[in-house]
Parts: sequence; structure tokens; C-alpha cells
Amino acid sequence: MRKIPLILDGDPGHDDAIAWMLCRASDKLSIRAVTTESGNQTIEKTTYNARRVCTLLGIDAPIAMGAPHPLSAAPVTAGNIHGTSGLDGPALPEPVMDTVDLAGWELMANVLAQSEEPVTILATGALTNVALLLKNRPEVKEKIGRISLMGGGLSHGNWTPAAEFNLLIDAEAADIVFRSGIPLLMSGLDVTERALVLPEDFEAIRRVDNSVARTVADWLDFFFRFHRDIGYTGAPLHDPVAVVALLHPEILTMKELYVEIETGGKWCRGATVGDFGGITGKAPNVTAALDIDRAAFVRLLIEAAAFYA
Amino acid sequence: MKVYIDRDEGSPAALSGAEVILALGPLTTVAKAWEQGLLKETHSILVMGGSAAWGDVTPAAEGNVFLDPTAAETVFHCGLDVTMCGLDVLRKFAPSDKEIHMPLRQMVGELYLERPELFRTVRCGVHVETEGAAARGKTVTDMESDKKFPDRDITVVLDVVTDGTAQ
Repeated sequence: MRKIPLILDGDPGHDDAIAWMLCRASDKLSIRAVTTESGNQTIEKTTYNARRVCTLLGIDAPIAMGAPHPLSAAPVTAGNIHGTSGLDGPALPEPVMDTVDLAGWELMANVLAQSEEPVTILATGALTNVALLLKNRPEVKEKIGRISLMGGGLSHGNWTPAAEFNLLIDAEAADIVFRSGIPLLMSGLDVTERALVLPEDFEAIRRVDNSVARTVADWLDFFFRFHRDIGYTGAPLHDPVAVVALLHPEILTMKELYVEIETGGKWCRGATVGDFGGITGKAPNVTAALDIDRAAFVRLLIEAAAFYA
Repeated sequence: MKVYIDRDEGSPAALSGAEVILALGPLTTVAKAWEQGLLKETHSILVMGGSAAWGDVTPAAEGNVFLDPTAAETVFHCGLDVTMCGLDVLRKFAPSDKEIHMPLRQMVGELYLERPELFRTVRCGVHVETEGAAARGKTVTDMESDKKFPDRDITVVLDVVTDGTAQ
């Protein structure tokens, strides 16, 4: 079976790291490059985390530091959720690889230009690198097969009542990507807050008993703390849902939808406005995941953890 | 209880003396009446518009609020007891958005005033998007968001039930 060439673009981040754990464990995906975004922490921290996570998981692909800040907005980070390092919790190996001397979008462009088949991008942070790629190298757009992204929320937000963090912090980049015509798989808060992993599931993953499984369980312990304090019964594993959309769409409820990004607004900057009523008459630009079979999702996590002997 | 039905057609002065305002149209007149200090007798306003879910005239906005978002934001935050009885529940009474007309809004509003126990409601924060493009006119609620508005004093009507167990 031919593997799908994949670029990992994210801001690890506990849930980014677990998403990458799923990707590395899959025999359907071939990771060609890793690029970082600022978001869960500063670009320096998320890039260091990306190198540590790739070392832990054995991801052997070039890593490039992404854009240091959003296209035009001031940078925002989420240290309240992911800690000072952006990936607090268990000790991680020191990186065995360095970054390549290219901007994130430049590495993306090189991988796309060299690939004979369409490349998928897994975007689990802000969309700054992808937007820069589309602005600077529009000719490689046709080499992007699709983008599976974690971001937005059709019914509600999290960083503001209307907007989700990843798309809010660079709403202009999100707007460029949503208007690009590239096939988009959107896993927003509608589905990712239902991808709840419960403390008993953390222990099932820990019992897989290898270094990756134990680290994932410890990440979940840390990631759950913030969410428990605001009323969650488990850790909502946002970013891994974007991997599920690529590998196991059969456990998701999906809907084709026209979605626009609000870049202005007093309350709604960064909001994903979905045309549920078909009012605009515009063709869908997004396949949005709206629900997930939670038990099947947890089984996928346990199976993937068992890949790392 | 002196209920005044407002269709956004009369003068703001017509609202003075109303204890309850049942607002069936855009909120321009009600907002003006509030700004002119005419609502001294009024204790509650039932807004038969807005939407916690999606809109009807744009993907984000319900028609009455979309026509005057600034007036709607003024009314929602005037400090009186405000209830948003919009598309979320009106859609339970109509086969499609096209059939949500003023007589239906009045019927549902009067039923709510008379038999509030038939409706499922939630107390939350609501703000109206008065700027922007795609989301202009959206009534943003914080009922499902991790992040809440500081002011959470609006009643939003979500559903109607027939066995009287909504509350």
C-alpha cells in the first residue's frame, strides 16, 4: 500500500504531540517534514518541543522553525494550559536532531515541489506557515492534497466565547487557508471537546508499558489538570482528532459545509461561521467533523501506543 | 401585568408604561425608548429574535438582530430582565425558517409569558456582534464555551417541551 506523504505542522503542545504519536504509529502515513507554529508557547519553545517529541517517537524527517509570530496580529501563547515549556509534565529525551536552516513555509514548499504525489498537511496549530506558503509559493498549492486541521468551532469557541485558539491567534492566516480552495478537513471544538479521554483511559494507555505509552499517559495527566479545573471529566484531545479524520473517518460524523472566518468583529474575531442553512448558496469549502465515537477513539490511542515497543 | 407588543413601527414614547415588552421585530424602537429614559415601568423585555445556533438571513445572524445589531446590544445590556427567545426555539414551531413570521413570534412569546414552565432555558452571557463581516449581527452566547463573558445575566430560551418538565 502506498503511504500518504505528510507534513506535520503544529505547536507542541500535549495534544499536538499525541497527534504526532498517532501519525508515526500508522503504516498509512509517511512523515516528510515537521514545521512549527507559535501558539501553545513561543516559537523557540514549540520548536524545541518538536525536536524532543520527534526524538521520543523516532520521527526521522527534517524539522524547520516556523513563523515567529502571526501574519499581522500580536503573538498569544497558552502557557496556562501547556505549562512554561509548552509541554510540561514528564521528562523528555534531549533532541538528537537540529532544525534545518529554512523557514517553515520554505521547507513545506521544498517537500511539495519534490513530491510526485499530493502531500497532506496536518495542521494542529495556527495556520501561519500554510498561509505564508500560499502567499510566497502559490505554484505549489496544487501539490497539497488536503489539509486536515484542528481549529475553529462551528457552535462555540474556547479562547473567546466565539473563537477557538488556533484560528483566533492568526485569523488572517486562517482566512487565507479557508479561501484557498484546498480540500480542508476541519476538526473543530464541536467534535474535539467530545474526544474526551478519561482518567481510566490514561491508565489503560500507561499499562501498554513502553516509554512512549508512559509519556503519553503523563502528558494526559498534565493536560487534564487545567481542564478538570474548568469542569471537564476528561482531557479533550483536540489535535489527535485531525489525525483520525485522515485515518479513520468512519468513527466521525462529517458534514460538508461552507465556512468563513471572521477577521474583524468586536466579539467574533477568529470565529468559524458555518452556513448550516445553505443561505449563501456557496459550495462547501470544508468537510467538518461534528461528532466522534469516543470509545473507538480511545482504542485507536491504545493501539498506536502499542506500536512503540 | 401590562404587556406591550412592539413591532418596531411606533414611536419610542408608545412604550412608556409597559411593564413587559414583547419585541417581535428589530430593536431600534426599544433601544431608543431605553436611551430616552422611557422604560421606568418596565421590568422585563422578551426579545423574539437572535439565535444561539445559526442565523437565517446570514449564516451567523437572525434577521431582526441583523437589521440593527447596535440596538440589540443596547437592549440586551440595558440592565432589565432580558430574555432571548429566538430561532433556537422558534424553529421548534416552524417547518422552515421562512415560516417564522411575526404572528408565530407573537404566539410563542405569549405562550412563554403565560406558561414559562413549558420551555427549557439557560442563563448565560450574550453579546451582539456589531462589527465585522461574516459574523455581523450574531448573538454570541457563552453557554458552551470554556471562556465566559463577565456578565451572564440573559435568559436564553432553547426548547419547548409538552410534558411540563422543562425546568
